[in-house]
Amino acid sequence: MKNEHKLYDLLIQSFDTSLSKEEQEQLELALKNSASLRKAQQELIGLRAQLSSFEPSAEPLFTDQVMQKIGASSTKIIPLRRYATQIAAACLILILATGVGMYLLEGGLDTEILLGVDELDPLDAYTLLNQ
Amino acid sequence: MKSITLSSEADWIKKAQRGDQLAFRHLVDLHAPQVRKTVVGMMGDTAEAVDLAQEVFIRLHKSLPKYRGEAQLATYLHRIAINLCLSALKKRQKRQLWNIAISPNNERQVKQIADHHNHAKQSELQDAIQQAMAQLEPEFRAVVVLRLMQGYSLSDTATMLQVPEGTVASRLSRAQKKLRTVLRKSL
Repeated sequence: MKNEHKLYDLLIQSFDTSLSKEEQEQLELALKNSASLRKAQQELIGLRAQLSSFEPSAEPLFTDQVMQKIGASSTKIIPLRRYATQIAAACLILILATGVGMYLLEGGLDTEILLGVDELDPLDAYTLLNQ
Repeated sequence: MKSITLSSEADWIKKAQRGDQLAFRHLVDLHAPQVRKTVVGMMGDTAEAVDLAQEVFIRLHKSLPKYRGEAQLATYLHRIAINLCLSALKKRQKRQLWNIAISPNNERQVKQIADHHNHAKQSELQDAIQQAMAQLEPEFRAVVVLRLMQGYSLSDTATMLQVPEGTVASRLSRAQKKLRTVLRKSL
């Protein structure tokens, strides 16, 4: 009885994993000599074929329903990603326009002009520090 | 037979990632049959299974921007499907226990809750298979669905379920023994 269980286990194993040479020979001999084991083999082959060919009933509106549900819950992230290049270009233009404007108004783009300390008198700085 | 090649599927995915709804719809059409097969295999042919299968694609839509193609799209979808089904089955089991707890004598109600199958649409043997599958524990069902219904290798099945290959082999063996016993008359 124990041997039958072991052979049955070996049979099931043979479908999904590689058996050793000894195990393979043992199984082949057992199949040759046992009608019940051959019957089990056929039933397992049939079972696996049925599972492989299993098809659920058709759902013709499936894709439409998915798209509807997605439409109802769509996020705003995708449009933002789509316009990322344009937004980056607009920021660059703004920075350039600010730089050009400052150049035209102040006559230069020195660090002191950019920081706004070009018109500061040293005496003013001393006064501010002592307040 | 699939007429779409892997490289053209990658094109559809890229278009869908850029927000092309028609491209996403094409991906749904392409993969819906196999995803539904996985979900129905796990849950039975029920309204809940339809909702879950749709949820797989809704999750895909949300996660598509992050999808980098490390796994094939089909594998990615089946992983989502199996995880959703395992969660749903846990909730279903808790509901059934709760119903038994609050109405201990209502065995008929429990049978109705467990009996989800749409007999009108299935052949007798396919119906018998679904009923037999319903007798397996969820983790055993997952192995049968991925390995025997979808044809993934033992190794891929183990990766998708995040269990050792030996565990998959063991569950597969026990599941086949049980299914064969239940379906003996039908095979």
